Amino acid sequence: MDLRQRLVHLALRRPHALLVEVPGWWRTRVETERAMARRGWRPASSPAGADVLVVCGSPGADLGEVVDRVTDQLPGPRARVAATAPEEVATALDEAAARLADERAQRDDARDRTRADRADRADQGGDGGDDGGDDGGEDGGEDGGDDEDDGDSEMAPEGIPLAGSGPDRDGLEMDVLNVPLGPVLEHWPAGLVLRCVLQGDVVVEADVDVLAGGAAASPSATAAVTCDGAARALDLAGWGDAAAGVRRVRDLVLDGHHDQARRDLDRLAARVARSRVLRWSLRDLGRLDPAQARAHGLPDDAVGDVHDRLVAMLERARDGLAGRSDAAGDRSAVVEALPTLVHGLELAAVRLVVASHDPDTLGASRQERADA
Amino acid sequence: MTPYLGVLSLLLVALAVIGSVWAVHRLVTVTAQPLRSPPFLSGWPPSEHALSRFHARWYPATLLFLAFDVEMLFMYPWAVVVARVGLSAVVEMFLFLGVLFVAVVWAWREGALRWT
Amino acid sequence: MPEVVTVGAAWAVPAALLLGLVAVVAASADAVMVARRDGVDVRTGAIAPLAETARLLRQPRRVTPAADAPLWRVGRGGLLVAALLMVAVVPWGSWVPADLPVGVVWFNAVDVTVWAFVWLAGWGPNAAFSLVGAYRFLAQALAYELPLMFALTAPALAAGSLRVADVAAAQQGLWFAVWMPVAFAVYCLGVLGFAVWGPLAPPTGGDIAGGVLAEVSGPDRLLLLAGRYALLAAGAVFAVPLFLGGGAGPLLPGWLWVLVKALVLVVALVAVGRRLPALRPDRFLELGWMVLLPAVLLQVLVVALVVVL
Repeated sequence: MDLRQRLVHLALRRPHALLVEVPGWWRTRVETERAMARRGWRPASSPAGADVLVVCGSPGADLGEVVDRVTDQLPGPRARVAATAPEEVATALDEAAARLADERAQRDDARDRTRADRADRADQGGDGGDDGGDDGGEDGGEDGGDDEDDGDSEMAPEGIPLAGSGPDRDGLEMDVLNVPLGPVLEHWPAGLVLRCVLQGDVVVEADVDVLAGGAAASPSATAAVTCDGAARALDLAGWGDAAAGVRRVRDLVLDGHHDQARRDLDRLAARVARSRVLRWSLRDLGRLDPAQARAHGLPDDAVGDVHDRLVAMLERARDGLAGRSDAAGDRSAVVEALPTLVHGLELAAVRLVVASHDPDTLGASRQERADA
Repeated sequence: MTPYLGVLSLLLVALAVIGSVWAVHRLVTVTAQPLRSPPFLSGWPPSEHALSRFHARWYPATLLFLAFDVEMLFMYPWAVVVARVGLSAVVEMFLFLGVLFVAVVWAWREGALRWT
Repeated sequence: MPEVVTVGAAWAVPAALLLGLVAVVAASADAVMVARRDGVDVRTGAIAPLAETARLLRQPRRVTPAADAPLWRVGRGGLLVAALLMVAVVPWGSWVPADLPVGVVWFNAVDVTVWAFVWLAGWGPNAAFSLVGAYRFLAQALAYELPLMFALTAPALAAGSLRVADVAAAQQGLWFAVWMPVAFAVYCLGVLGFAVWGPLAPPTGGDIAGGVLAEVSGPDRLLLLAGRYALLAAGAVFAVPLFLGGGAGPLLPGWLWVLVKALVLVVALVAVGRRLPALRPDRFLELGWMVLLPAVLLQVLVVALVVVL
């Protein structure tokens, strides 16, 4: 049908993609972001908003399992593609676009998923009712028959237990939620998993893990990596424009345009350091004094609050571009320290603190492997 | 009643727009059957239902808001009569607001407006 | 009393179309700014609202286990409804869909319903990130709502009327935006607040996987995103009679002036919103109560003194 074809054509002007970076495939993820921007594709924050899942690198078994689960959450029309080197990115995105455009295959996929879901629920003896499907009538009513079947166990509707509770800092009894952050999460270090226990949006407990991939090369262009980390922190501070600017500097560095990169970065770093709103919003978040930093085995540049560390990151990138020493401290130790660093913070602050420390998950996973 | 006819007709337009979004969707989508999916938790299955007693740490601010918001209702009738009543209306209202704001400052000093 | 004609019920359609136009221009402007930033052909930005609509109409809906379906649905559709109800009282030059004697209060009442809609949209899916986003919105609303309410009273006070057409007519010669700049600025911030946009977008932030938007797909997502732009547009449209002289202007007919002024303001809101970092809700609470509220109270005092002296 002509109308439908035109609709598909229009929809393909702006696919949204969710990116998964495997530790060690930094360069591939960066190339994916650049290729997406060139095509007018947009990044997605969650599977519900995504048409495409791009896996950058080859995940290990644990990470692969997580990625499979996320793939199942894409609403469809969907495409999952992988790139294990920057050169493969263009082909992977082309393939994704072609698969999204294949209306018949997408319809088959959607039908198979509905069937599988129905079979699944039949296996569970109709448990779970249809309350998710909210409106048997409007959905055509084909599967709305078990609406009133309230066979759920009192304590675990749809097979998921109700939230338990625990004492909070004021001595009140409060419900707790287990909310893991990572590995599939926007603006998040590759492979990092921070399992948080929340009361409201405050982290009362956390533990950390890194899901690694197969063998991989470390990233080499230091100034570009630092810029990428700073851009991530800026994005989390809700300043997308500044983040995009710093990311452009990253790309200039990777392309070897060092002079232009230096000029742009000088201007951007000054703009970031000058912004009063940014300072007001990040001041005193995750403050560390030198003694605490040393106790955690963190480098000297980890001292201060989120704003200090962000400015320092940009400063390091400038040093690197100017040919001065930009030896960043070893950022793998910070991974182990994260549970303590984020304790008692709310989620937005947790994300900013993690980004401002720019943890080196690849280094941490290697160390772990060497220890084992 | 007539002016509210306009409001009602805009409400109907809004519902019509929402209805047509749904109708067009059903015509062009790959499947009208919604996908059943667990909530997104960075790729992990949920270990409990999220709907729970949420610890809203800013609850003192809600009480403050309620107090000030009720007062706010007086502002509208007051705004209409200020020109007629004159200076005394302004003095009375701002004395009242001043007293209320002292309470806000007190609550602020007690830390009711900080929640970390 | 200035002449405005309450038009028949069928005129709700053109009013809604005009609001839709402003909302689409806002969405296009945003996408064009992103395209220019990324060095992409700006035409891909300009057609973004169309492409996004096509994409989301083709995408199936998505439901989560044990979701609070009816409340979720109310929240998703509510934003668009609220936006259209806001513009019901806006006079387009000399015609108005609903000439309420308390039009300003009506706008205020509708903008408070947005609290419920955004919260319900986040509560509905039974998902942690959405829930955090929902509560973030409430915390943020506690901070912007009171200053916004007082900012709304300033023009009404100067005009001595709560009827929107009277407020517009009271600005012969000098726009209220010019001599009550604090009220206008606070109003604009309030608009960003109830549209969950720009510096006040943390309830839909990327740090919580999109927050209130984290679980919705297909037409549901389309309604939420469109509702957000419609609220931004409704805020800009309502600002015209309130602060920007209404339909007054040379040559063009009144309704066209309202449209032009609203378009300029909405593009400005998009541009300014993009240039600012997020006002994080926990800090914004203090800012709202200790800076914005006293500032706008002083503004109202100044206006009141001008009125009586």
